[in-house]
Amino acid sequence: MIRSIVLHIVVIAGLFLIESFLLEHYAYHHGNLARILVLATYAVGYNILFGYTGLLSLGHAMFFAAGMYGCALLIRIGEWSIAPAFFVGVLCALTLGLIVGFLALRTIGVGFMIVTLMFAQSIYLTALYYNEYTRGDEGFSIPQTVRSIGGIDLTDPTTRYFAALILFSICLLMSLALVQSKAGRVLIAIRENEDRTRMLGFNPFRYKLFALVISAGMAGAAGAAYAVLFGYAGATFASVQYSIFPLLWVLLGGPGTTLGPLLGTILMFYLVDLASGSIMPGLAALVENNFGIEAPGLASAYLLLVGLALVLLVLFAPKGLLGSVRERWVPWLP
Amino acid sequence: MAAIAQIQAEGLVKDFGGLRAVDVGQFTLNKGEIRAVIGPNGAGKTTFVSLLCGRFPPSAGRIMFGGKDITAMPAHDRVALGIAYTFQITSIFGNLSLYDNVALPTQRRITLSSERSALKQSTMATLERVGLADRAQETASAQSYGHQRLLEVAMGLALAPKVLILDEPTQGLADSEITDFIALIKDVARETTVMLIEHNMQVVMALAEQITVLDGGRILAEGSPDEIRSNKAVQTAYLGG
Repeated sequence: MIRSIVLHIVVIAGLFLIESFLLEHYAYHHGNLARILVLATYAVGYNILFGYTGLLSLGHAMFFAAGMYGCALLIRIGEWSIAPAFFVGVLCALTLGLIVGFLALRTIGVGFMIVTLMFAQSIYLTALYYNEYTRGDEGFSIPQTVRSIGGIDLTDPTTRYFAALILFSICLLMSLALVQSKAGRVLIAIRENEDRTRMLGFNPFRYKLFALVISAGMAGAAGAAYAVLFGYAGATFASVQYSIFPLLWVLLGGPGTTLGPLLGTILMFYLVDLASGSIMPGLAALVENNFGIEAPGLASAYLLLVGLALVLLVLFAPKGLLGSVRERWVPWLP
Repeated sequence: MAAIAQIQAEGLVKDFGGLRAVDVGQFTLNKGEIRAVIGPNGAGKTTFVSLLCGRFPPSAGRIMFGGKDITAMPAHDRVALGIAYTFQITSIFGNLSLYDNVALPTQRRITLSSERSALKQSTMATLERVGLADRAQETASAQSYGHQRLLEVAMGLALAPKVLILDEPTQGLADSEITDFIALIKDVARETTVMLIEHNMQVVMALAEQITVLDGGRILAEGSPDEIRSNKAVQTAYLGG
């Protein structure tokens, strides 16, 4: 109990301390890490539902998008200031989570995956349909001038980094507190054996709905923060791709581990970055120079590498990186 | 002492497609007794007790608990009322520790968040009772079959139920474990009504005050162990005509 709290504090302190070092020497990674922290917040939320409660949602982008649009549209059209718009964004995601959960949780397994996917698609299509307001796929930017809270400029790289870190830390510690609480024990029990949990007197529907709403709220907070910190909202974030991403991040880092989502998001972010930036273009050039075969699609086929990484993961570490670490070396890892 | 009805069932029927698995006219389980439910394989014993604890709804009939109609009540609410069920096919949380397995039903009763130590104490006491306390931190799936059966019983006990329904609890236990088990249930029965489905006649005769014999989903006979032993219909059902 104590050591897991200490571990999380150390991780957060580490992220706090490397900020100035990164800014000075690796400005590129500094910017990346701010983005990763926001996306990792999304993954932390996803992990509560998938990793701890055992519910695989294929539609979490709708909650991310609900937070993003709930916040960004109020700023753009309603001319609200950042702070209240952010909270309304989170509220939108919570409400959507409650409604979708109430309906989708009547199904289980594959049914739940399909129903969440369909809800997310309808949200995505709604965002496209009202392109008069959302500007569809193209999206819209939030002007730099309005992106500040109480005179603090959120577009400044350091401020942005710390804002992302604060959001991430709050969600990470919330998830730690949740999984070590009695409610968390019930969620894990539902994941392991729902029928038995019911016969021990817990209403699985109520607990699953609770997990879904918390998970949706964190996804929405990440979406709203993304809009505010990076000044952009677009329908891509509501697409199925952004429902799959948190699943991949969590699978890579370790479903059902509190720190897995962060690790998975960092690794996957840089895997995609390397694959699309140097590995695949390099491979395409190599093929062309040595074999005289032109492979125009190869340079941009970074998903090939991501797919390969996932196949290796499923074969050799099906519990994710931190899941394997917990199994072999650190049994107390939350 | 006049018998007080704890669970009553009237006209209880369960159909699976065209098969009438249970058709029990009148059934009463009295407060404080140990009741054994016996019968040949496929007699509908598990289906019958599953209806009582609400794992699935009956096709017809009524179930009363302490005078209250619970026919439409979901299983988790029946647990809250005091009906606990332990599974015939061992159903534990295999990836979790024995402690966590028992802490889960225990925390149903201990609700104040400040009582972390009370939760621990009560959980360990239950594990102690079934003789698994020294294995509390071990993983459930790594235990022997007999220990898993005991864990299953411990999870039922942890709920401190009014009625404990045990579905073939001694299946797969060694003889020495069965002796301990009989002592445990005798102890439990001092404050709890116990209903057990059992094939092991040694256990039935050692524990049961009343026996219900099911055959083809119907109650074939009911009575004290001596009455059941001398019942012609029961002998026919068990030994063949």
